[in-house]
Amino acid sequence: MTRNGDRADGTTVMLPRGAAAHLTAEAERYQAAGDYIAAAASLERAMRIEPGNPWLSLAMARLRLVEGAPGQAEMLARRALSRAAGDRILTNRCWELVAQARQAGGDKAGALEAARMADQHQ
Amino acid sequence: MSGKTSASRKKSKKKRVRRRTGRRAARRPTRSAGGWRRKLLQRVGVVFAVLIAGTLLYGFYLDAGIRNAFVGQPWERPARVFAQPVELYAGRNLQAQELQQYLHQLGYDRVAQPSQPGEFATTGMVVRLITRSWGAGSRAAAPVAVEVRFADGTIKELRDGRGAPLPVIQLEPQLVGSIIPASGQDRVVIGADQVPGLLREALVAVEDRRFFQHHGLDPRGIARAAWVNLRAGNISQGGSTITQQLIKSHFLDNRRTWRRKYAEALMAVALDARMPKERILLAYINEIYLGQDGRRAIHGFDLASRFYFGRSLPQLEIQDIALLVGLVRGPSFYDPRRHPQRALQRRNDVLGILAAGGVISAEAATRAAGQPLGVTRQGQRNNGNYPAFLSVVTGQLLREYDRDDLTSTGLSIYTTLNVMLQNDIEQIIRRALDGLDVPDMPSSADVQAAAVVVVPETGDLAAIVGGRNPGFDGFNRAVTMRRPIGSLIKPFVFLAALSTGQLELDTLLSNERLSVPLDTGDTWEPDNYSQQYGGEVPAYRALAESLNLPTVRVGLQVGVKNVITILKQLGLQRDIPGYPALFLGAAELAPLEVAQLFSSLSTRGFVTPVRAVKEVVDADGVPLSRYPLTVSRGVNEVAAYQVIANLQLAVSHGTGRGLQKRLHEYLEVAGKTGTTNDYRDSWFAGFSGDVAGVVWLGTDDNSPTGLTGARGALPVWADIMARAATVPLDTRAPSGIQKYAVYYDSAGPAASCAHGVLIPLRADSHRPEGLRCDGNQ
Repeated sequence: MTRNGDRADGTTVMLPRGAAAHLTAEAERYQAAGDYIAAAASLERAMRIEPGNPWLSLAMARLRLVEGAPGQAEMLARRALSRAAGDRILTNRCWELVAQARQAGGDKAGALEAARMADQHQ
Repeated sequence: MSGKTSASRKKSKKKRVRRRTGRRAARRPTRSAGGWRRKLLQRVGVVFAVLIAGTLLYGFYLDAGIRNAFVGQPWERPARVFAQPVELYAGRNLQAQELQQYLHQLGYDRVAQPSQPGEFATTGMVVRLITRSWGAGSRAAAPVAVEVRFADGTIKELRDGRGAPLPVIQLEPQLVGSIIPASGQDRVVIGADQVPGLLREALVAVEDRRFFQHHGLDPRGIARAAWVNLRAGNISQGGSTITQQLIKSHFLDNRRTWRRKYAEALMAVALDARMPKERILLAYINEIYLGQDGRRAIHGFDLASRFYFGRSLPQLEIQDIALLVGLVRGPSFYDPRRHPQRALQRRNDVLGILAAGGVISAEAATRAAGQPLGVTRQGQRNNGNYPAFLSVVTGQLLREYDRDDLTSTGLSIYTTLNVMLQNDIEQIIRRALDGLDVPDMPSSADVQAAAVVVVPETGDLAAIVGGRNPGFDGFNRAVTMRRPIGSLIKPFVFLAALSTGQLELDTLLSNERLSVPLDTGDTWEPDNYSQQYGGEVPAYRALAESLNLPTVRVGLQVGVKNVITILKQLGLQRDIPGYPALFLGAAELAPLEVAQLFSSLSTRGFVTPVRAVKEVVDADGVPLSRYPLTVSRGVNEVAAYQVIANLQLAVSHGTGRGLQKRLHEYLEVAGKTGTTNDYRDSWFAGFSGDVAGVVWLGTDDNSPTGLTGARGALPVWADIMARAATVPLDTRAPSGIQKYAVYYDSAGPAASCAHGVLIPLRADSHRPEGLRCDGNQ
């Protein structure tokens, strides 16, 4: 699982595959339908199958935001960030979510900061 | 009549006499021949009336007791605790054999061709099954036909009944226990659908033939028993119905007084009036006393099934069921392990009764009677009981629910227990302890163990072992035992120093002896384990090699309070004494607490509390409580990453070296040994990319084992991780880290990035002479 990547191009973190991908898609459907409990259950199942995959933490962060838990949303997005390891797209998305979460939590200055970080990783 | 003349007196005398004879004579026969009878009858009538009234009153009183005990909550629908459902998906590490064993444990029948839920078939590397439905309401899952194809120890393909690929499927979760209020015992209470038909019929045939007809008491049975007893000259037969036996068993009263029997009889009638026969039978099946396991009483047929045969009730054969039914009359008398001949005879007698009653055919009875007893040696096989895990569940729930609440109307409690992993770990520990070769130890049979496995990403408590005999309900060392953690504390001392910027991984630390003045006025003079000292070592070596002297210096610099703060931020929920001895692990923690700390470390400081319960759902599938995973920021990511990298060094170059030959080379792990004074406690804690584990070895009376962390706990940890871990540690650095290649011993710059070891430093810790290595390695 060691990978040498050229910093200039950025490494990429693999999206969830197979069962984890299926469960993530299922979670998205539940989330769109407003069934947040089922969405969380599907995401947790995915996490057990691919632990440590930051895309899953990001998906969970999105769910928490929609559920009205911006604090948790930010935490999960930060957890995803710690594994983003140079993946520009993922890093950007995580910071975007942090910005949204901070905004929802009333931290306007923090939201701006996060938005700037997101821009740095376009 | 007085006052008459003698003549008239004579006449009146005659008359009087006649009259007397007439009227009084008529009265006299009543008084002498019938008057006393009437009074007697009256008296008897009064007594009867009193008795009946008394009985009715007593009956109402007992009935209230019945209502509370039976018709009320506990016996209707006790809370059931379920393990984590097993997920099947392509790419999962699983062998055909493991899946078969698990299906067996779930009570699936092995058939040639599965045609209904709960059946499976195996041909070579393919397992075909039909799952059972489970869950309720909106969570209900319908049965699914599944085909699983295995290759190279993984699931290669998963298809449904029509051959279409199935991305993932959950099997119904295994029932691991129930929560009963009164006794608080962990017993396996089963529902009607799990009771084999043969058991029901056999119980009725052997214990109470007219069960479905009578009203709680069986007059014919009583009469016949009385007759038999009379002829035998002693009391050898009961006349007790199943209902009566249930009452007797439930109220646990061994007094065999007439008053007791009288009360029982009344209660049996009341119970029969209140509860349908099937429910009474089910309660009986779950309640009746069937054996003794040390100080644990075995109640209920399913628990007895696991206790005697190591299998759940649905998995039993005809002769096994006959054995259990036979035990009802005398679990000690007919104990198959202590009195095998008697047990065999009784079992075969029961088979005879069943054949005579038409419950089974004569041929089946003969065949069954020829089979051996088939009971397991005590504790030999996993009996489907997970008391250590259940105690964590109960503990977690009791914080929010009253005991009574927990047992109302059929709650389902969904947990994180990974049954397959748990079974394997219990075996690993048993094997390891049985095979322990310990120098200078009084008796290796006294060595105990505890183990915890956690999934840091979700906080799942995947497995927990409380002792070397895990199936026995006793002291849960993983939770209730606190021991000094020794060198396990060191990563956290360094973590505290790194996160405050007071230390870098390549900081040179003095390895000289030192004296630490204590508040008490004494001086503390720690030493290295090897008793070698002198010179200087880079911090990363001090941690990798678990050197005491440099560690104490780091600790003194950062301060006891900061170390304790770090521990609490990583999930420790208690206060611990703040003495300098803390830096060398004088703090006493439970293995579960240690697991939380290392789990939080492994996620680079994102703390997810360890949980055993995911969800509590009511009988209709409506969730009552949910325990979703939560994340909080515990420590500085960069510092955490550095400590993790250092613990990897501990495995490659330090005290954890013994792991290398025990783990697959691709499985990158980080871990720390822990040994306490005089070798009383042997610890190993660490993690891979997907799981964190803690192992403790020691003795209950705190006598030395002679085992270091490396010799005792490490090999056990290795075996556990080899089984549990599938994802290597992710070594890609977060931003804010710069790696340098150095030679391990000298800390001087290596010749190239492919040489030496990579030490991660903070990005702003510039090392102009050092060899920076980019790229994620």
